[in-house]
Formats: sequence, structure tokens, C-alpha cells
Amino acid sequence: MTDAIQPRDEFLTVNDLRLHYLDWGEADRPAVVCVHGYTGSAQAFNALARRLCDRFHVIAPDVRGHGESAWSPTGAYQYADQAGDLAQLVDRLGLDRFVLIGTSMGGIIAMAYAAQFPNRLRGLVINDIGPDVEAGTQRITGMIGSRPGDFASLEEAMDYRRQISPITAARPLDDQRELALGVLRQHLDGRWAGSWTRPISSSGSRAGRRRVPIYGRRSPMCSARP
Amino acid sequence: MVWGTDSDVLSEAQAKRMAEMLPKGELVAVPGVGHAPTLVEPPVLAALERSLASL
Repeated sequence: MTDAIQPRDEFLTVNDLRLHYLDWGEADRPAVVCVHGYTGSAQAFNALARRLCDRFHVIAPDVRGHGESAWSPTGAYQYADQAGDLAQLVDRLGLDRFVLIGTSMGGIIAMAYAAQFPNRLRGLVINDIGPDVEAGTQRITGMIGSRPGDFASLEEAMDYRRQISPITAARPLDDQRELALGVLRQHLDGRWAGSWTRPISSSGSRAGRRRVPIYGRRSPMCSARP
Repeated sequence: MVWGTDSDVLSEAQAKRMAEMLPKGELVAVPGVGHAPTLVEPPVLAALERSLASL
């Protein structure tokens, strides 16, 4: 990947959360904002951004609870929270009008933003998601819930990602590595684990909301997995 | 609207309904791809380039 165009890593604090975003191309070009899916990261759009960044200013944030963006201290991961972050981010960047692209969960965030701020959009791309929940959503939730907690090496993690996703398996190896590095972190013990927040079983007045898990990674009392 | 024809998250019916509801909506099918397209598949890139050029 040494000769591939690289983005700028940027951070902005919005709604009291420090959000990371990848910034591609010149700021005076028409803006294209890309929002990734659940357990994904801004790197999901690298291949697209490399094709557009000579003519467009491409901004790809890590959604709160994902990648290098902060986790919500109150477990606020509703689509409205995430669309609110997007609204603040584009305001702070001074993007008066822009093209918005959202994949999967990012598509729902994009729909929520578009419903509230239709006049800000020059175009909207919704990628493989709709307002009606279909069977695959349950499949994905189950798959994420049954993933190994961590991996001995990045290569092992990449191998697992290829097994569960033919789309990942079909991408060039450099892309696979870039995508994996976007969503995995190496811990002090050398093992690699996902950088996204994980849902834990909920109870009480906030039942049904996703929460920020706090757990000892080897704790016998509190499993890392839901 | 981008739709992977093998997707189990977005059906053809829902994809078509959304494309029809959106002003100037267009449905781009990505044959043989499940959830979710990477957006660099040839039919997606072609549609994106066409749409972006018209802005």
C-alpha cells in the first residue's frame, strides 16, 4: 500500500465526543460524506475515496463507538445520536451542501439526517439497507455476537473476516489489511480485538438500549461477549 | 439506492419501493453481491460518476 494515496487523520469534538474522520482531497472541491456500517470504520470507503479524491473532498467519519472515535459514556448509540454527530460534524467543517453516502447502519444514519436536513444534501446514496428490518439483520447481529473475542494475530483475524464475508474475501489483500486495521486494535498482551463497542444484556429502565460495556477482559464475572 | 442482489438485509421489493419514493431516485443493482456492496463495483461507480457529474 506504499504507493496508494493516503488520507489525513483528523479529529473534532462534537456532542462532547472526540470523533475521528478520514479526510481525502482538497477542501475547496465538492464534498462527499461517507458513513460506514455497524462494527465497520471509516476505512470501509478507502477504495471509493481513492477514486474520487482527485475531484471531490471526501470525508469519512468513524461513527461514535467505532474505530478511533470515542465511546459514549452514557451508552447513547441511537441512530438519532449518530445523526446528531453527523449534523454537528458537517456544520463544524462548513459543508453547506454535500453528497451523503451511507452503507448499512450508515444508510440509516443518512436517512435520519436527510429527513431532518434535506436542503443540505446535493445527493443521497443509501447502500443496501431500508427502513424495514429484514432477516439478514438478525443474521448479522448473531454473527457479531458469536465472533471470537480476540485473535492471536492480525493474519488470524483477517482469515476469520474472509470466512464470514465473501465480499471481504474478494477484496485485494492490501484492502483487507487496511479494513482490518480500521476495526481491530492490538492489546498489551499482543492479541487483536475489535475496536467497536459491544452490546451487553440489558435490564431495568434502559432495557433495549445498547450500553458501553465495562469488563475485565479475563473476568470470570462479566463476559466480553453479550 | 444501491442494492446487492444477494442481500438478505435489503429485498428487491424494498429497494424498488425506496428508489421510487426518493425524488429522482435510481436503483443500482449489484449482481451476485450480498450485504453490502463496497461501492467500487462497476455498476455503482458508473452510476456514482454519472450522478456526481450532473451536480
